[in-house]
Amino acid sequence: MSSFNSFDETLSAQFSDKGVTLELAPFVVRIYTDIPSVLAGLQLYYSEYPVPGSSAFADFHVSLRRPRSAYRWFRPQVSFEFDGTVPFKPLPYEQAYPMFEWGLNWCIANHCHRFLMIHAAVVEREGCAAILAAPPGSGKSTLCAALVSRGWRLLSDELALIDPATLRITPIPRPIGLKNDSIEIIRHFNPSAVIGPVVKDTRKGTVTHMKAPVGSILRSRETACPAWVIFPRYERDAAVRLRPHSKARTVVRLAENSFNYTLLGAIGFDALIGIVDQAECYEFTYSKLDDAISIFADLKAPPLCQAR
Amino acid sequence: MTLRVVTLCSAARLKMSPLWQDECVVFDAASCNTYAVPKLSAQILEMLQAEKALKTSTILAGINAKGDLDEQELIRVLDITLEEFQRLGLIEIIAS
Repeated sequence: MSSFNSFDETLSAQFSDKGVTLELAPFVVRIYTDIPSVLAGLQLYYSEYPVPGSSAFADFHVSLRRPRSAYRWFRPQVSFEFDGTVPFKPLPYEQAYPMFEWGLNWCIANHCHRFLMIHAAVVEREGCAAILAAPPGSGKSTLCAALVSRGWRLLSDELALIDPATLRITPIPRPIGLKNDSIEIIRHFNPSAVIGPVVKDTRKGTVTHMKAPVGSILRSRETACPAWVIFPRYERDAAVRLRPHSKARTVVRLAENSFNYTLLGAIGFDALIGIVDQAECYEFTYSKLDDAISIFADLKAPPLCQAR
Repeated sequence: MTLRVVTLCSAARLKMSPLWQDECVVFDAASCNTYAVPKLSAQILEMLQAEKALKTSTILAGINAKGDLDEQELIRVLDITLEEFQRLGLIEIIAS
């Protein structure tokens, strides 16, 4: 198994026909495309990920291509295909790379039901994971990017993958999605962060991605114990505030933020109860990232996580 | 207080979390609906899980076994709670 650091534009034809296979633990993805912005994005963000080779089993086969409609001559588009199906309408061609990331999120969220999946960022320190669950626009990814810029390990920016049998979180460290004001905020907060090209006028506004720290990628097989469930919210000029949150209401909110809670039924319920029972639960309001980092630095691991 | 007989809906298959700070979570496996409920509501559901059907007077006696709670207030809360459970499809009030 090699790593994906020998990419060259001459390989684009090969990427289009045979695809490139990436191990994004715990999944293997085979990607077919000849779109330069996607190839450049893969090279920028995924150069340290293992490449299992074209004969390896892949969980997902995805491709990004220009649709062959007449429309392409006056307004080029990009289409995302998954196992030969087209789950979404095409997007403007400039949005090809973000579409790859969004499409891959969709693939995982709709197919990986051996995990209880919650829409949340997850970061880890000393084996203890903080689940940052919040709806879009609440500052979750900005906070996540800031925390991993200050030494926390990235488990995921988008999906908490919880093993119902062990209650541990499986990492899937991928690029962190940044949008609108948070792009410049993170550039300023971490000048050494690798942030890719900005894409404007998407359905989420102006978007880009921040590369996952190499240390997080190299440790992508190390699971973590859920120690804290935190509902973050950015509020302009607000004082930083961490308040305990009802465990019962935490369960209900996590269930609402889950992609497959109803599908898993009682298994999902038992997993959520197990996690919330052992974790500390908080609501968190912040406006300044440095203040937020200080609060997170002082979090104490609950006894069940300390013992593991 | 109106005397009624209450039973869990036949479809309702309930699981409950531990009690945390006077609240717990109820999961209806039939619908996958999940509710945060106060301790009193949890007690009522546990009693209904243990018996096929209960009179409201029996429920009242069960939740005030020590006799140290205000009975009028309990009746008021019980009425509200049962109505809410009925609305959520967890119980049926089968006679009154």
